[in-house]
Amino acid sequence: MENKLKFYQKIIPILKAVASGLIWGLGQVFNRQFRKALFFFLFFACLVGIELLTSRYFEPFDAFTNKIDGEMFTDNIVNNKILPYYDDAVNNPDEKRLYGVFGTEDTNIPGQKVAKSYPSFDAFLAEHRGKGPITIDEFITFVAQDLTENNPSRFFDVISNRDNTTKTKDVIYQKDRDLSKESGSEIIVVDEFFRSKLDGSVYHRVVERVDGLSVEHYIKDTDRSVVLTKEQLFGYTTQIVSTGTGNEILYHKNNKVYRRVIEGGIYEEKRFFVNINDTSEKIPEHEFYDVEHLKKNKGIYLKDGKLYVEVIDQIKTENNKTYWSLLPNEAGEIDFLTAAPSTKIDVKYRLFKVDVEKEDGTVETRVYEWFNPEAYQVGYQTTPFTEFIKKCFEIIYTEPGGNRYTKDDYTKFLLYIYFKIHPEMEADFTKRFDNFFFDHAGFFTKGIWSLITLGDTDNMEYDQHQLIAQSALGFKVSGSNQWMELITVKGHDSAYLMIRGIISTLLLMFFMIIWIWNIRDAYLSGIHLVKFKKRESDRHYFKEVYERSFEYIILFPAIFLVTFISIMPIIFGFLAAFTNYKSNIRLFDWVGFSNFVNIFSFGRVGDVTIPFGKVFWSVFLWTVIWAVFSTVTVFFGGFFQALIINNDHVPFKKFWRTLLILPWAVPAIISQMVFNMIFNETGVLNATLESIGVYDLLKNLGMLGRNINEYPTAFSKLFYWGEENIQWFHNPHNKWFVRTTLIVVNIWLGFPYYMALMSGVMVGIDRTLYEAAEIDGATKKQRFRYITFPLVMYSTAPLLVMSFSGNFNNFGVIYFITEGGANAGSLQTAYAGDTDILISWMYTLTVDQKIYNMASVFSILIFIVVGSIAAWNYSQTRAFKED
Amino acid sequence: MWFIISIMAIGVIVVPGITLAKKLYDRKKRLHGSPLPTVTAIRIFDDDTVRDRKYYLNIWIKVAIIGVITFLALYVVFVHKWIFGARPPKLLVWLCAFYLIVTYFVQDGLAADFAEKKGYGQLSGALWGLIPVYGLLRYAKKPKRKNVQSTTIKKIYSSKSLIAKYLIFAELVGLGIIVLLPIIYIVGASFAKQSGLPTTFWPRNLTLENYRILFDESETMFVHWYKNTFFLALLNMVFGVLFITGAAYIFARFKFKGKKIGLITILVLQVFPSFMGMVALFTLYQTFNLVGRPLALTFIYVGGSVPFNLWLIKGYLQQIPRDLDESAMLDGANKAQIFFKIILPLSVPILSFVAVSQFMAPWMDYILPSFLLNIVPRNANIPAGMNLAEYTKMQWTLAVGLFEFISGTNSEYTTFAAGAIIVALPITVLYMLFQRFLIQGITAGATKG
Repeated sequence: MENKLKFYQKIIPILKAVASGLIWGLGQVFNRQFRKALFFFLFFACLVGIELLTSRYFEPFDAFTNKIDGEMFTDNIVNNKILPYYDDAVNNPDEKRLYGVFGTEDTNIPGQKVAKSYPSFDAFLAEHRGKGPITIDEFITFVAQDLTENNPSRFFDVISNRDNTTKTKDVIYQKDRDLSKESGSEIIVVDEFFRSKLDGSVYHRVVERVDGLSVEHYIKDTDRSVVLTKEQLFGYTTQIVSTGTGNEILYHKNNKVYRRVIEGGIYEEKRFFVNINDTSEKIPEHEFYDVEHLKKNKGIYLKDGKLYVEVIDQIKTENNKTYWSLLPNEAGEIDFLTAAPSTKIDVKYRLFKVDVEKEDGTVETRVYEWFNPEAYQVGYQTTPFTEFIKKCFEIIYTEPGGNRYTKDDYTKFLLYIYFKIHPEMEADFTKRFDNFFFDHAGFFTKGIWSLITLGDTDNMEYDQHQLIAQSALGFKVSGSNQWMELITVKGHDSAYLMIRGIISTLLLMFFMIIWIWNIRDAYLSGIHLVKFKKRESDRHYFKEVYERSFEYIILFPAIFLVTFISIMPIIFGFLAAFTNYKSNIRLFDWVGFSNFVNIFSFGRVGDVTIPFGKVFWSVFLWTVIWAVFSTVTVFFGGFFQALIINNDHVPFKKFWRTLLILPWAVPAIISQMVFNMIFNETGVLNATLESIGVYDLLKNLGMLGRNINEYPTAFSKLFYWGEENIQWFHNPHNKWFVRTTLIVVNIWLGFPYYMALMSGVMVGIDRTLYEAAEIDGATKKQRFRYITFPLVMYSTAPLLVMSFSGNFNNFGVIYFITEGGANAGSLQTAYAGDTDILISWMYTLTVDQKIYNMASVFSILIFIVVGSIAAWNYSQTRAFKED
Repeated sequence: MWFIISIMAIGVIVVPGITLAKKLYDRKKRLHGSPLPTVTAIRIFDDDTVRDRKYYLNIWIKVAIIGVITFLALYVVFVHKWIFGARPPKLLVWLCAFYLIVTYFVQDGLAADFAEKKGYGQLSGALWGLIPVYGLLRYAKKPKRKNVQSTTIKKIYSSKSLIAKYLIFAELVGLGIIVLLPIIYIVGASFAKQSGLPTTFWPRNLTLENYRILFDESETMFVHWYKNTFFLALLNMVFGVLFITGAAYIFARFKFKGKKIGLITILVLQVFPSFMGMVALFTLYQTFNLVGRPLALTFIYVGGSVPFNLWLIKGYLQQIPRDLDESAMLDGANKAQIFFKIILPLSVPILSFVAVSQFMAPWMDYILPSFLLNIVPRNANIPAGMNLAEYTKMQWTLAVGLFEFISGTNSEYTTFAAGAIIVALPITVLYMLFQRFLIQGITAGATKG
């Protein structure tokens, strides 16, 4: 008797289901099924618990503190150490280490000096009086401010400031006028160039890669449309001739032919060009060329009020230094000196020329150097306050119990100061490393975010703190290096995130199953309640569940294991094909189908030099050919052998079968490695063949011992078996020879199994069939064709398909015997060797080259081929139909 | 030397000659009456007509030709000098040796055929035929047990039959040699004294040095590899069987929602190449600090073998008739009891097969260990005095370690040979002993789907 429920009667159960959806177990509570409610609620608690426990929703999180190694100095340092020390420095004459560190001034009493204080710090303290202890943040902000104020970026006159340590005379501040932005004002003092001897014009060298080779061009400075090659500029032409032992370059100049000769030892090399027709004519290298190869390297000298830069001739070995004036003289030309001026000026950074108006109204061009505290060669200079801080740290270090700070801690301190100098950097840091999903979210939320975005931030390396290192910390505190040169902050690792994402998604799916069960149950119980006005007892319910899903319960451990060990990696591999993940790139992205498009359009992927598309198809073709031939030869080889053994002529069938099954009994991997040894070029097979005389035979036939150039056509190349020895598996020019050898060797490995199998089948064939056929007058051939062959094939043909897919993925035979064959590992063939099949190529890509995304693409394609075959095969079997 | 030749000459030429003479004498005696006492003649052939005489001659010619060639072959093989002074070319010697072996088997086959046609059974004929020439003669003497025509017997010696025999045995012997050669080579190489690639099939100087090196820990880590692989195999065997059996039982017996999907998923999982997930597994293992520990590979092996073994056991269990289940249920057993008391004992054969194949798997796997065992785990305790590279090597399994010997520039082929023998010998012996069982098992897995 079916009671169809009206819609209004269903509303309450629906509401209960919704309630269960929100909080698991709630609907069951409304149904007064408390034990069930508890059961579902426990799962809910687990889910929420995991999410919350692994999250940082409610904790404060400071990226700087947590992500950079080292301990941050606490407020205590400021309040308990530095402030008292400041007090000492100003007011306490007994504290000899610190008193007077800001300088002293005279008092009324002659000979006695009193310490000066630091005005800006006094102001800072005054501002903070009454507001409680000074935090480290505020203190460091002050230090940053102090450094910035005392290190303004400025341009100073080189000559007048050369003895001045702080470089304050004749200064132009960058905020007033930025010389670096004015074009044409910079003077280049680091340069490598070529000066033509014919017209004195200067050329610069540019190197390009064309078709994988480096090509040099020389471009004229004053007229950038003039581009010369090396030969044109240098004034000779080259000719390559082959001699007995290789190739040689000859130089043609002025209708004469020269050869380049090097004499002398390593330290006194002299290079000449010698006329090949008249060996007495020896021209030194630097006179032979029509250009001078010169180099400036920031060697600045002062003479008679003018500045000169050192120019070194790269070709001459002696007397190769000249000094060129930085500024042209009144006539607009450059002066040259040949002797070194006496005064050398230490120039740290870039030089500019400035027109300065003197008091008497004339305009003079002077050379100004740029003090840029943000430049590595320069850095921030120390201030009195930072000197004071240095002394404080020294004291802290030497006091008992005070020197527990390490390199990391000091580095962190420096970086913090630097962040305060550049607040925009601090903001960027926070943006990168304080990501809501990565740093705060719980396991499941983070997992979903990981899968969608695959991480945003790569590792960042900070080294700018070195700019303030000397000023803020520059003394030995904890060993030979007091700060780290490079700080690496770890960002997001996409591979790791993807795995976590997959795991959390899979786990979430398990929970979802229970969630849905929960909702359904609430609804159904509600309906049951409405229909029958009676509720099911919990105990009864659980017993029923146990009976009904006994299967699922038993299967659960296996399913769980399989999911995480088998399915998760496969999903990862599958997804990797849609990214650009290769060789330890930490951060990669989704690229969609572009990898596949590249393969199918025969194109190149990413790197312009790796032709994946083209190579894929040739490897695929060989894989298919290999699978087909190896399966067929082994199958029919085994069949043939079984026929021979089962022949009436042979008395000891069992003995022969046992003997010939040996290749199967020896572990495949061992025999493959043994074949590697045997077929080695200098291995036993070649040695034996040579001693028999096969080598002479081959040499006479022209298949051995000739140079590859003597085989013009591709067809004749098929007869090239090797140079000195027969190169069975590493023949670089005769792919098909190698491949054929491989197929033949594979027969040795594979036929015993089929032989044994088919022997068994043949023995099982009813004798009466044969006798009946003989009575009917069938010949031996007919008996074979109509009885033996069909019966054996019927039993074993399904194996052909499995064998095909097995051989398609037969890693061992290819890898251990041939290691990929010749040409493996070369870029032109995208790292695929001659005998590589898809799977061994994938292995090379994954393990050696680490190009994971392409390997995944191939594995997906392999899967499609082999999987569809396997699926078709399966659907044909009786087992499937019976199920 | 001449002694051996003379013996052979006797065996090949003199004996048939004597028998021929005897036969002719008997014939003559029968036709013309004999003054000599009647000896039980060696009756080779029964009928004695003119037609048969030609036929006999045919057979004797064939025997004589074979005999002469055999004699020459013996001469070439066993005599060190041609009459011309130099040694005969190697190729010829080997060809002659080959010919001798084939002829030996041919005459054995002839004896077997002879015995069978006469009714004494092929086996005993073959056994007697193992002694050269004697087998033929022995059965020539014996009377017929079956009622066969003499022409049938003569047909044994027909050209067609002889050529067929020669071809078949040539093929068998040739294949046997090809099968044995690599094995002999590797056994020989393991005893070879040199360090490079052995270039002869059997080394000149024999030594046990290679085996000693393997067990010397300062030179190779072979013992550790063996230990690692052995324990890995053991764990794999135990857990593999434990996990899969229950699940296979469910799949075999019960119909439940998602069964077909489950089966197809399992089939699909089998197809994926094992290292599509290698990168993921590597990262996963690194997180849990499991890289570089050989025993952690168990997870992957067991998990990866779930599809195949599930299939196998399920197929086997499906063949156990359901009537057993039903009668047990009638007697009041619940599902668990049925499983433990009835199904499990019956499935011992297939479970042992699974156990054995699970045990075998790690010995021969290269890809996974080479990828996962090349890094030292984070908190490994490296014994003092060992550098990182050596410690890493200590964690390898056999396949990786052995391949290391022959790949790369620093190859030690003879050590590899010794290691290969140690590894391969037990497996080969096991396989040979249980061949039928194993082939059945593999076929069951393959043909059933």
